[in-house]
Amino acid sequence: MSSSPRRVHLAAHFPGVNNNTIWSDPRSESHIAVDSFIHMAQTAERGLMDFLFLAEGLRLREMNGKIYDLDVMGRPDTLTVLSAVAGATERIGLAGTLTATFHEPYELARQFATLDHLSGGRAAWNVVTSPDAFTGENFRRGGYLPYPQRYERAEDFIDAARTLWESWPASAQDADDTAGAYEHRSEFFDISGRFDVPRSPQVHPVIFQAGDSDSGREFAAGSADVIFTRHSELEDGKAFYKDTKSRLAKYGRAEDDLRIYPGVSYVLGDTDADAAGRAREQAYAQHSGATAIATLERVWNTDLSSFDPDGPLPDFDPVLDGPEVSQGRVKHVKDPVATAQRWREIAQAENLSIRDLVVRESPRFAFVGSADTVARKMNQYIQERAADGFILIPTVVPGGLDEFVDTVIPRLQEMGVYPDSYPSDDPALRATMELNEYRPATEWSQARADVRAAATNGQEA
Amino acid sequence: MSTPSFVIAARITPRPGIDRVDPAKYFSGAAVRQAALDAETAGAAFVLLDDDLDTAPAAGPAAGRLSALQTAAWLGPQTSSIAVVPTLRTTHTEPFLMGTESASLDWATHGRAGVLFAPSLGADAAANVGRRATPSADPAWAETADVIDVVRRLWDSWEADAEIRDQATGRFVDRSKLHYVDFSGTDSASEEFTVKGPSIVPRPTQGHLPVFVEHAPDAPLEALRGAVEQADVVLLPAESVGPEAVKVLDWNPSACVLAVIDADADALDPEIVARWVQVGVSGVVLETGPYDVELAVRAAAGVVPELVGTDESPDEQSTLRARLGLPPAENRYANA
Repeated sequence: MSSSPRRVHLAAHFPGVNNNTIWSDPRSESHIAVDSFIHMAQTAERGLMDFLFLAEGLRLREMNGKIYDLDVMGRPDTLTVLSAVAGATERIGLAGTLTATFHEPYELARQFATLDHLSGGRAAWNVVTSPDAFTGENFRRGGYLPYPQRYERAEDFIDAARTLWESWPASAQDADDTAGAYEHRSEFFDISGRFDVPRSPQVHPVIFQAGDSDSGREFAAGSADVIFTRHSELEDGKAFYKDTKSRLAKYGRAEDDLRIYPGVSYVLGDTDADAAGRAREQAYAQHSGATAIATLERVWNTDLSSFDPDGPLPDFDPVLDGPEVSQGRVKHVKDPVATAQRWREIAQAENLSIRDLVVRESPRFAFVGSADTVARKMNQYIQERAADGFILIPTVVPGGLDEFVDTVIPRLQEMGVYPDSYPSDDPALRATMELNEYRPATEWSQARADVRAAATNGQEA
Repeated sequence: MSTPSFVIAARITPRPGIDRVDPAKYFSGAAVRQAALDAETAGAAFVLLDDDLDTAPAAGPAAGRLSALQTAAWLGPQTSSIAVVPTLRTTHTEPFLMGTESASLDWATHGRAGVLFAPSLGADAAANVGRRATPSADPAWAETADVIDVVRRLWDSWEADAEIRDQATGRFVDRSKLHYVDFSGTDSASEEFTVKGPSIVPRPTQGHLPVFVEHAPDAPLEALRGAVEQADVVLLPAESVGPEAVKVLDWNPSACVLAVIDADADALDPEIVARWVQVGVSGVVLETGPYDVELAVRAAAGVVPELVGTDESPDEQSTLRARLGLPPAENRYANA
């Protein structure tokens, strides 16, 4: 193709409550203080990024029946932080994760509409689900939602929220006694009345979906503007991109209507060799001896606290029939016995301790190299359609983004794939991301209904 | 700690039928920000931001409003000494979320925040949220007392020094300083509700945010007794503040009682204020709406100059607890 190059989009993930975040680094500061969030948001804004992304926590993780104490833990409420950050920034988008399982449409819709108003249209909602009884113990209703219904409620939740966001006339000046009147009656919700927030600048905040599964991709194609995905190698990324984008046409959507943003880690250095050395140091900083044992415990599903992290792996197989030792975290290992077997073989062949093995088997940093190398590799993903942008995940709060903005972004600008200013005078995130304006709720739901009717007819034919 | 001077505060939410708001300016937040800055300039201790989940009262063409807690958080970085006190409604919102949102607001304002708890008594709030029936006043206020209790426990569920970053053992926190709250309360429909804890948010900057309750016309004062006993600050209508203050201070002798008064009325004169002070009233909340706040606060201060004192530039680091003369918050779980 000889057309002009696709531009690179970047965003920033505030470091999360896992061992990717290195709290032992002497530069690491509070991950709760509002000034840490403002620092990272202002750095992202200086780097002309699309948005700052926050995860959500609703229960502290547990291990062996006790609160897990090895990682950064605790975090302030997503929307409260984003509202504060909105008051200290001008352009950066404000993306918050909130579960469709334990929130309610009326409350969440007015909170997002408020954020969109106060920020001049910079709000985004990452819709996730959390249908487990463990999280439910902090809520009135407990664990109530069967796992297969998690996306059904989420989809219906978004429809309800969109209905509320559209319930006022285009100009609040035209509002009368009926402004905000709405009704949403469905399997999951039976709500009606008058919404109290006038249309916000974007009308609908940008909607994200996080998750790579087949049903997650379909959910994104039918309901979302952005899909937040895991990083993968270039060819796998291209396959994911092609598959996900191919689902859009039947919903009446074009390739650019759903953006793919993998979450990526990175390690920079003066040279590629320097960066590789730093990556190795960081991997050990992310895996203390205690963290290495805990990582093993999640695979073996039993208490291994008597093992020496600098010694050999357990010679017995994982426990399959016991209760889960780890609570409140997504499981990544699908076949523990096979994983344990493979790890023992690797450790034996390479003479690795538990900690060495865990570091070796931990997820690799996505991009490692000099600023020039990282800029070129990232650009390749964009040009070859393995991604539309990246959500950068730093390892240190609050300064972990600074070096990237100071060194990689100038390289991307020199390459002609990154802008020198925000693309629009309008601070709205839809303008910053060059997304279309909002699509009405009825169009979304009608398109999905048509797709499902066609699928049913196809099965019957 | 020195005895606080007479507290002057402003409620900057538009007053139905009085303040006509310009939607273009109001919903961008500009008017609210200006009101908070004007109140700050005039030396007010805090601004109140009303909220509910029912149909908004009409105020000019816009019968709308913004979520108060988020507006308060947004004001945090844009103000320097004034505190913000949003309303949280206890009937439909999850108690766990009220705990995390309020704690986060305290972090977002460096300790310049309080929270006013009140039930949602309207049928339209119940229809909007769609989870629970419309409650009557007594059980809804009883539930409010339970919510205040569990929120305070959630604030206590992280001891202040729980984060240890101990490299020798690889531990980020000392989990013996984190506490399950295992709360069981009764909701407004007489059903049990439980909250496990601990909070997801570390202990608020102030330990506990000052907890406000207000006696509004929609319930008798007696219905509020449980909530008043749990509160730090009790707002009473100026018309009946004398006898009500006596009752409130009997139920909760350490409460800070404030009289709520229409800023446009000339009711605030030195003799009346002197009588209020005699029965234990510590200050006033002026119903100013979002406009002309500075003038109203300065006028009130001029009525009682000897009580207000001359310090119009409070320490920028001073917390709302300190400005209200509240003692440091203790933690029920510490050294337990």
